[in-house]
Amino acid sequence: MRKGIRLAITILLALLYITSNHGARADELEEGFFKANQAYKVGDFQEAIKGYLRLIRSGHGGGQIYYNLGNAYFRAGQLGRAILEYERAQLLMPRDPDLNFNLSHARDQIRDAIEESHGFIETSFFWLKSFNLNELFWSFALLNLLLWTILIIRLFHKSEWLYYMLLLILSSWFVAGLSFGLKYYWISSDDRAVILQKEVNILAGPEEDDTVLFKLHEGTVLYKERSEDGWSLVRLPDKKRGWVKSGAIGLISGVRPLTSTSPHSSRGQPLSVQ
Amino acid sequence: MNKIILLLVLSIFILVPFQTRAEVSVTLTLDRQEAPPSDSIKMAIKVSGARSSDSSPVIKGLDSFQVSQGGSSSRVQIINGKVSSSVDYTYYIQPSRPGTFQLGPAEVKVKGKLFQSNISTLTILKTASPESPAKGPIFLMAALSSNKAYVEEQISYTLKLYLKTSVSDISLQLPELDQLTFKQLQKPREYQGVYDGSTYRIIEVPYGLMVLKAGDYGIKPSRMSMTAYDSRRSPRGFFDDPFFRSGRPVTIASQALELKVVPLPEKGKPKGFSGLVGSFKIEATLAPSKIRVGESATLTVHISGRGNVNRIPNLKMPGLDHIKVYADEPAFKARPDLKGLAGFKIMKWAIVPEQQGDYEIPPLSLSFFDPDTDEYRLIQTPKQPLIVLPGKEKMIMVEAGPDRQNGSSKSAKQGVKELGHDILPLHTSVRNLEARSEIMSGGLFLWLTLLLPFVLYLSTFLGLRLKRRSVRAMPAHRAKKAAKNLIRQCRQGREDANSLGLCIRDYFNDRFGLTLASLTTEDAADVLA
Repeated sequence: MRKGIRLAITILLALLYITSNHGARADELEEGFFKANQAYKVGDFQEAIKGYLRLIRSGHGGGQIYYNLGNAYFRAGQLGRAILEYERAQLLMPRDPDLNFNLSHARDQIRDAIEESHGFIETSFFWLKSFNLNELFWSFALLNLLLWTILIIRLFHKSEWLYYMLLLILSSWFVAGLSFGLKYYWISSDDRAVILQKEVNILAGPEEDDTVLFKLHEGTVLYKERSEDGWSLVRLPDKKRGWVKSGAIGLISGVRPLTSTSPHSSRGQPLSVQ
Repeated sequence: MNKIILLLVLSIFILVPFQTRAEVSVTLTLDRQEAPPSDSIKMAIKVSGARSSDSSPVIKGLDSFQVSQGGSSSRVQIINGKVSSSVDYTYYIQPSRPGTFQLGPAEVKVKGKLFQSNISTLTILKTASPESPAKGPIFLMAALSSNKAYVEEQISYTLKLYLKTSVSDISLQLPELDQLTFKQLQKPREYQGVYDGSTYRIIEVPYGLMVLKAGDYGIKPSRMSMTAYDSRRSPRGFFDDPFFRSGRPVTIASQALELKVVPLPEKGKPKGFSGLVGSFKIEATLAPSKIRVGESATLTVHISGRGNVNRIPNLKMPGLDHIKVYADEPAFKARPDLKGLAGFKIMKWAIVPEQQGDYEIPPLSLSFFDPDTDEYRLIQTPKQPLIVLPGKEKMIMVEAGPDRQNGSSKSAKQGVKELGHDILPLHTSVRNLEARSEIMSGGLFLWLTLLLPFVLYLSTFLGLRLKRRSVRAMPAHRAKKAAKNLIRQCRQGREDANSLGLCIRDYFNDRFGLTLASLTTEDAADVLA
């Protein structure tokens, strides 16, 4: 009996500790967010950028923060970084109308006329762009639960309506699972990057004195193939390729989603999935 | 009946040799020897002694006439056994000038042989003046609203067709001249009128006439062609309809007219004059007249009038300090009416102030030449006051025309016009700031969430299966242990017969899966047997 009471008290104390810790963390997050917003409103965009980056580095990676950071970069005249942050925010809240408007507006200001290419997955599974990975995962998880629940019920009771419901849920389960898997693959293999400098030379090789193949300007989205000694091999949708300094570009998918985040990842700023 | 037709046909064939032997003659006749120039004269060519000719007649002396075919007919007559045949060709001729003309001879080929007709004389009288009362049952009158006009001034040219007889298939040929442009202002209208004491049915066609170059112009007669029907038939009834009557083609011409066109005066001509001639007015509205910085007001200028409306210029808004001006596509519409060509042009500008304050939109002016007063006129819009209040930050301005604000008509609606571009503001909601780290960090959690329902199903399935198996195996298990139980019970010292009987009964029940019941001696004997 005494043992039971001790165990209950221990669990209660642990829960209280966790809850209070989480509350303090939430307060800290809201305060940081509010301060960064205030800095933005008074026109101190650099301070706002620092504030949002601080939040992201401390592991808070909500889409709102990326969106606001994009706005701050845009106001600070850093179009490339603004587009980068908007693109990251779009992975987290793809249906946000403000975000889509601002991203479209920022894209209009890009100097390079490069047509966006759409791969097979994006074209065939067009709805994937409208949902984030989290939404797809929980949809699949819910359907998975329903499917196995119906199968369990059928072990005890078999009826015709249960059979048809099973078929319906099974097909939905299949589509949701496929969507989730493809989205996971698409994000984890997303090699899109944004030019962050006003103008960069794309060279024929990873050396300063290599031939300049062409120039790109801030905000242009391209694809990174690989990196070597501080240089990245990039590719445009029209298949033009060349080398650029790694610091001149920013990867949209900084880290793999649905795995543990590291603020100091070598692939850039951490990206969490909302 | 059939016999009669057969006899007739046979008799025609029998009589053919007689007919071919008859003498061929050609006669040219006119329905009168003297005619006014507006009349058409019927001319008939009769080829007697033949049922057909090789070709149509060739008639000489028709150079000064317009010729219309009236048809041809052939006939065969048997009178007192005498057979005669002939072919008739009918023409209507319209003189183009007065004078005396020799018509003919008409030449006709019959079976390769050429035959000639007689010659007839026709006198065409001189043209009657418009005021002359000597008018026939059909005549055409033309009139100008003025004999003097300025270049590009619009005057009216009216044609009136006077009729005392039925006509159909009327067609009109207007005089052609390079510098003249005619525009029909309205559909022809028909009414009753009196000319020189006689009642006529009058068909009136109004035209707008504009001359592009100065000079003295002689406007040639307009011509109308039609089919006229004889009006002397008195009974009016069902068969009075033109359908049942044979008409004759008639072409009539109006009188020629003179028009003096003078150039626009150089005196007082405004600089950059657009060439607008007529009568015009200008109106302007600004709505709303009180706005905030960054919002837009719409200035609408409406120019309307009568004249060469297609020359209404697109007015230019002068540059304004601290105000951005966006011009809309002007709307233009022209519509002819009885007085000439009227029209309007609507121009709109979106006015977007960048600073607060009280502004004045300057007047916009339009100059045109007024032929009624013989001078140039300058009309302008009044100054439009605009009050601009301190504004809210707005990204997109929606142009709202005054008509739209009044909600007057759907046609006045305009599309939304983007006047500026900027990003939308920050998100300030603190909801969903946190990333869902439990999913991100929890690879195990992720798999558990997905696998747990499956594990539950598997456990249930296996449990059920195990349970079923144990129920089925219970009798065999008891049979296995039956002998062991019997020995154990016997060793427990149950020596009386009842106890021993019960032990044996239990053994049999367990060993052979029987139901629990008392074992009679007969049962035991049966089992042991």
